[in-house]
Amino acid sequence: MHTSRQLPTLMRMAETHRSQPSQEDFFLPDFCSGPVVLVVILIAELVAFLLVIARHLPGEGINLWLDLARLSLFLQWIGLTSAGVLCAVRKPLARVPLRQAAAASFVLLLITTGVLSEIAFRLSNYTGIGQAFMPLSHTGFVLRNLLICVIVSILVLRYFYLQYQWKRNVQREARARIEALQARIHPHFLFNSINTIASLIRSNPELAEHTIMDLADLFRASLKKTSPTVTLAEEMAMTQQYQRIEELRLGDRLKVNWQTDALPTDAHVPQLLLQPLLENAIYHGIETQPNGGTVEVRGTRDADILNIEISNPLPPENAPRRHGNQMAMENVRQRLMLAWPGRASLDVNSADGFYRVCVRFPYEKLAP
Amino acid sequence: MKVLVVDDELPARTRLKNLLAEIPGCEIVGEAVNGREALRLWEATQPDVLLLDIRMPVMDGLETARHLAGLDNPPAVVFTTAYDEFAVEAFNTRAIAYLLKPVRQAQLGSALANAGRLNRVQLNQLSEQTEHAARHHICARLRDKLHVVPVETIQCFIADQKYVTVCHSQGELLIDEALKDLEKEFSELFIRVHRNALVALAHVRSLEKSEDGRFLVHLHGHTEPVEVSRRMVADVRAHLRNTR
Repeated sequence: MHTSRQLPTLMRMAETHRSQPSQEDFFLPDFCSGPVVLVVILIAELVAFLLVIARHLPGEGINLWLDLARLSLFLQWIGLTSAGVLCAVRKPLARVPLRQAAAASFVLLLITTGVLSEIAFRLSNYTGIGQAFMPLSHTGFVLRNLLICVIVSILVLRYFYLQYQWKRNVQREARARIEALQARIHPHFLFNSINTIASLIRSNPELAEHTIMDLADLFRASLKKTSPTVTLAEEMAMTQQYQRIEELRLGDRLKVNWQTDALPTDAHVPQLLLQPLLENAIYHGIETQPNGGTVEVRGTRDADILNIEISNPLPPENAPRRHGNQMAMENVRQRLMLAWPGRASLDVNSADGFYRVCVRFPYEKLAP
Repeated sequence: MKVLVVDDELPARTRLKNLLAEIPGCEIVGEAVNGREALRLWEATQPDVLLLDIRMPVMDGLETARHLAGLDNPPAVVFTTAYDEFAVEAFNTRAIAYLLKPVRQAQLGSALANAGRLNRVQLNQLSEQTEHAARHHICARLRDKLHVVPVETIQCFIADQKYVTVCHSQGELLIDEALKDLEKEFSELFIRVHRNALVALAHVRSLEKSEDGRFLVHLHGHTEPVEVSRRMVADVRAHLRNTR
C-alpha cells in the first residue's frame, strides 16, 4: 500500500548524483530520452520559423506555409539525426575532459549538417522537388547551412551546459544541506560518557565494555553523511542505548517513562529522530534539577498519523543557564520536513512546569 | 592536603576518588553534588583544595568559585570539565587551573601541587571575568558560619553606612558589597527605590502613600515597608506595571 523508501526528493537527487558520476555528471543530456528529443524538435522548429520570417516579407507571392513545411522537414531531419549522433557518442564523450567533449560534439554537429545538406541538395536536383527554394549554387547552399549550424550549435551547446551547471549546483546544495542536517551528538555527551567509562573500567569492566558498544553504535549513526531511514523500533532501540549511558552517569536522577505501545514498530523514520529530543530533554530538564526528574515519551496513533511527545520538567528559574536548545530542535524539524514535506510537524510548548516536544509524521512502512 | 570533590555525577566523583587515592598525602574530606552543598561542606571540612565541576545544577562551579573568592582564607580551586569550549578558552588565557575529564593521573597530581600557588591570582581573575554574569546566590559569613542565600528568596538590599543588609525569607545577612554593584548585577530582578535601597520586583506587594505623605513599598513576607524616594516614585510605578 505504501511506496518503497520514500526518500526525500533532494536526498534522492544527491544520492543519484554521487553513485553515477560518469552518466549524470556530463553536460550533454541523454538525447535518447523523450523530454530531450522534444527540446530538439522545438529548437529545430524555432530555427525554421526564424529562417522563414527572415527570408520573406509579408505580401510576397511565395507560399509561406509551403516554405515553412519544407524547411521544417529539412531542419527536423538534421535536428533528429544530430540528436541520434550525440546520443550514440554520449557515453564515450563523458569520459574525456569537458573542453574536448564540447569540441567533439560541435564538430559532429557540423559534419551531420554538412552531410545532410549535401544529400538534400542532390535529392532536390535529382527529383526536382523544391528547386524553387534552392536558388543558390551547390557550395553556397552547403556553406550557408554550415554557417547557420555553427551559430545554432554554439547556442544549443551553451544552453545545455548552463542547464547542467544549474542542476549540479542544486544537487550540491541539497547534499550540503542534508550533510549539515545530519544530527550531531554533542561533544559534552561524548566526553562525559568517556569519563563514565573510565570510572567503570576498574569497578565493572563488563559494564564498561557494554557502554563502549552503545557509544560506538550511537556515533556510527551520528557520523553518517546522510540520514538513512530506519524503522521506529530501531530508532527507539538506539535512543534507549543512549538512555542507558545517561543513566549510568546521572544515576537515580534520570527516569524515562516509555509509553509507546500504541506505535507501529515498522513505521519508518529518519535515523536519529528521537535521540536528539531525549538528549535535549535530559540536558535541559534533568541535569539542571538537583533531584533529577522523569522524561515521558508518549506515542499515540491517529489513523495514519503518528504522534510522539517527549516531555521533561522545566529547569528551575534560577538554574545556571544552558544553551544549544534551538539548534537540535531546528535540526530535527528540518529533517522531518525533508522526509515528509508538508506532512510532518514538530511543536514545542511549555506549560504547567513541563516542556513538551511533539513530533507528528505519517505512518509509512518500509518495503520488505 | 585535604581535598573536597564536587561533581553532580557519581561516576565522575568515583573516578576522581580513585585517582586521588593513589596520590600520597592526599586526603578526601568530602564530596558534594553541587556548589551550594560544597559551600556548606567547606565549613565543616575546611579543605585545602576543591576539585570543582563546572556544569552542575543549583549552583555551578564558576559561581561557587566566586563565592569562595570572597572568603578570608579561600581554598584553592581546580576546575574539572568534560567539554566546555568557552570556559576552557577563557581559562587558557587566564592561567586558571582546570582539568579536562577524563582526568589523567599525572595532570591531577601536578594540578594539586600547583593549586595553592595559583589560587589567589586565579580566583581574582575569575571574579573579574565572570563579573558580568549575575550570581544566583548571595554568600555571607555570619558568626563564623557561611550562609548561602538564593537570590530569588531575597526581598531587598538596604545599604547602611559600610555594609548592605540582605533581607531574605529566612532572616537577614550583612554583606560587604556596594549597593551600586548589586543594582547593576541584578538589574533584571531588583529596582532601586531609594538612595539606600533595592527591592525585588517579584516580592513587591503594593506601593502606597502613607498618611504623612511618604511613599512606601510593602513587600511579601517582610514586615517593614521600604521608603521610596519622591523622585523615583514614577519609575517604580512603571516597573511594577510592566512586571504585572
